[in-house]
Amino acid sequence: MANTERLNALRKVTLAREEVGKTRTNPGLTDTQRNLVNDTYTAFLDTESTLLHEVLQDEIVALTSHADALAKLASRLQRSTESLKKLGATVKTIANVIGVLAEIIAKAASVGLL
Amino acid sequence: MTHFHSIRPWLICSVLLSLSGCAVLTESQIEETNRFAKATDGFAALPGAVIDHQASFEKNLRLLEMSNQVLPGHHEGTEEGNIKEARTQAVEKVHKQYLAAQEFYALFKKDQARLEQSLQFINTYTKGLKTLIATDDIDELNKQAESLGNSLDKAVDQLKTLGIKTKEGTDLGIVGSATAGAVRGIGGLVLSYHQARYVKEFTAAYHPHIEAADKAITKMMTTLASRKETNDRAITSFLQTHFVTYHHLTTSTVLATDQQTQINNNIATSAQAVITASNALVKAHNSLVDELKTRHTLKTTIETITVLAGHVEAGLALKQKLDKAS
Repeated sequence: MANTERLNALRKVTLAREEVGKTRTNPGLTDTQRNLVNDTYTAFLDTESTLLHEVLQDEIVALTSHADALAKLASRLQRSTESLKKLGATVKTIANVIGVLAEIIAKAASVGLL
Repeated sequence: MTHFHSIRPWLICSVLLSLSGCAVLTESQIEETNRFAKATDGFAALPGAVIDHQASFEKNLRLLEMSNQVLPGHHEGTEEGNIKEARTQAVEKVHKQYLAAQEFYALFKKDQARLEQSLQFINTYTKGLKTLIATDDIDELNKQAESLGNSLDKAVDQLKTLGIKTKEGTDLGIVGSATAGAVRGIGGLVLSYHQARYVKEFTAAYHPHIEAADKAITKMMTTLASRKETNDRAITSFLQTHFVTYHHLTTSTVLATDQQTQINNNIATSAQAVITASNALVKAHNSLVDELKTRHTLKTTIETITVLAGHVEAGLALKQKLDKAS
């Protein structure tokens, strides 16, 4: 059942449940009669909740249909952030190496090796 | 070798110039991306919270309805045997109703969990976005370049003091700052270039999913919010039926009914807040994608992100208030 049909069905069941709800407040009913009307009311209530759950479920299923594409996107995002971090680390390493070389030159010069 | 030394500064300059022409993000673009990621924090939990209220409503309504059941009596002239059977059925019915209350609660809680799970991508996305735009590496690079420049200049000074020159007679004075500048310049630009490329790529790639999520969230929340009046009528119907059945209302029944009305109000209020926040999220994200398309300094902050921040904050405050109350 499409979601629009489900929503229509939900509206109809809601109206029916409300009508039964009005009937059961009649003070002239016997206990047995009221119990019967209550049972009908509860049955409508359960159908209504089931339909409402299905309406929600349809939308959740529509959302989860993107799950594969999103998982791939998340994995690409993860790889990109990691590669950016690695790139940052590489640049830092280069900077460190040059710094160490500078110190070596300075020390070598100070002891007369250059 | 002499030829290489003479072209080296030009080489560095040309690399820097060619890289500086790359589309990197401006400071204001980075700030707005960060503001968007922060404003979205907590949004993914809001729609699920509405379904949580709905689950409680479904359960409580059935528990209340159970109290309207009456054990069949003798006063209607029913045969003794029939009464016994009717009573047995009534006892079973009460048990079934109790189980149904728990089952419907579990059903809606499952919907809540699945919805929260399917919206997790928003958290993954904003977390990734925050990592991508974090300027820690670039800031660190600046610090390192500065200390590298100082240490190189110190080395050069020492060499100069000793009267040492390179074999080709290159002026050693430019070595320290130039190398540090090159490391900072090239390194920083390469990082910024990749940062901009990734941010643009992912904001564009995630946009259709954010739009789809908004569409689904709006449908669900509109359905739940639209049930406010019929839910109110269901509560009234219970109360009136209870009164005509027992000819009086106990304080606990009245208080339990009032609690159910509160839950119904919470569903409507929080569903409406989620619709507003979700719509604001799409608008803000759309503005962000547009603003990132070209490299330019934003003259003002993106208004739709400010609006989003306000709505998500309001939604979270409401959620917190209702969580405390329940």
